[in-house]
Amino acid sequence: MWRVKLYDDHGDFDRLVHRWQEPIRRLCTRMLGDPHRGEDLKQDTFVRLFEKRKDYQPKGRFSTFLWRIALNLCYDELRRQKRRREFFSTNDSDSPDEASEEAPSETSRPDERAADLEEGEIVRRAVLQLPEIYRAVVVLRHYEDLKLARIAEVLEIPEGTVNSRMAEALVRLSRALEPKLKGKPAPTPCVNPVNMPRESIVL
Amino acid sequence: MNHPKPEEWVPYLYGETTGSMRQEFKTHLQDCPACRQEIETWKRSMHQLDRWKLPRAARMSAETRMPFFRWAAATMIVLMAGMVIGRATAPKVDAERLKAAIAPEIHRQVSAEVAQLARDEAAREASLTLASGRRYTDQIAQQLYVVLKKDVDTVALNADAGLRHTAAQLFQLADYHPGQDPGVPNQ
Repeated sequence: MWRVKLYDDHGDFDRLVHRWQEPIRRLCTRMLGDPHRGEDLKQDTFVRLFEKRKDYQPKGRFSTFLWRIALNLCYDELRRQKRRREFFSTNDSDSPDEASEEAPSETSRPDERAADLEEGEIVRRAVLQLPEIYRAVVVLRHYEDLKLARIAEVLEIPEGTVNSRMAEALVRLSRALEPKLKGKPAPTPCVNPVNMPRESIVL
Repeated sequence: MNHPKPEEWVPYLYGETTGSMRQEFKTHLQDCPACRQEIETWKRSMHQLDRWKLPRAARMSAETRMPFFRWAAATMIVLMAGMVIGRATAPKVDAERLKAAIAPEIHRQVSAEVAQLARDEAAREASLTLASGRRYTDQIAQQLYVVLKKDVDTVALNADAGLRHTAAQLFQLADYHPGQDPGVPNQ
């Protein structure tokens, strides 16, 4: 990143985009609950990154800088959506057509795929019902596998606050998911392309 | 260990506690049904979160590729502009004067090259002719040798026949007696 900052090196910037576009796309999609807006915000994130390259401080982690940009764009977008909903008195984010963007396993049977879609949609809605501050922690910890200390660094809050937000998020998620998914078998863990194994979760 | 606060369970749930703390949490879970039930619920919720799967990223879209094409197009435009500006600002050349200046030198070089080519060609022709003449001479000599040998053999055969005939006549002459019928041999 410092090469991009100092020399405006487009080749290095291209490599940065290639390395980080998928995690950023996932973050934005999970934060907004919409793959299309997630893709748009991913591109906005890299545009913003290039615009703000001179603000980057090499002493800090590049990934922290990038996660912050992406999250701030997500917060801005969520605020815009909220204002729009208030104006039109509709709930855009929970429109049923977005459920069709789910991607269950292609090898499963049609009835299993349908069940996965339904259960995935239930989880998606439960996550989207979380307030932004809790949702960000859940997405970064659970889906992007960032350590709690790193999340504190990204969000610029104490680690204890991250823990309490995560605990509150788990309480709310349990409240939302338990009645709907209780008794169903546990799903296979998400494949995490960042190559961070999920063994840290206590089973 | 007292009941841990909810936030204290989070590092344990995500495997971020140290060995001793982890053991304490485990022991507490074994001894405390209320905490065990709560933590089991959280674990189930954490597993349920994995049901939300995202679609795979689409292949590089046209929009993503556009910056590369834009940069390529910009480079081409800059290069072409440079060429046009270079041609426009380059000093004019007096073609006639330049021609007069370089014509003698070019003429001299061309003449020298033509002469050299002619010499090379003549030498090549001469060597080909010599080789051809040598082959022809050898062929003629061989034919002459055959003819002469044939003639010499003929002469030798004729001479041999003549000598035999002469020898026979000499014997006949030696046996000859006057008054003898030449047709009756001497007894």
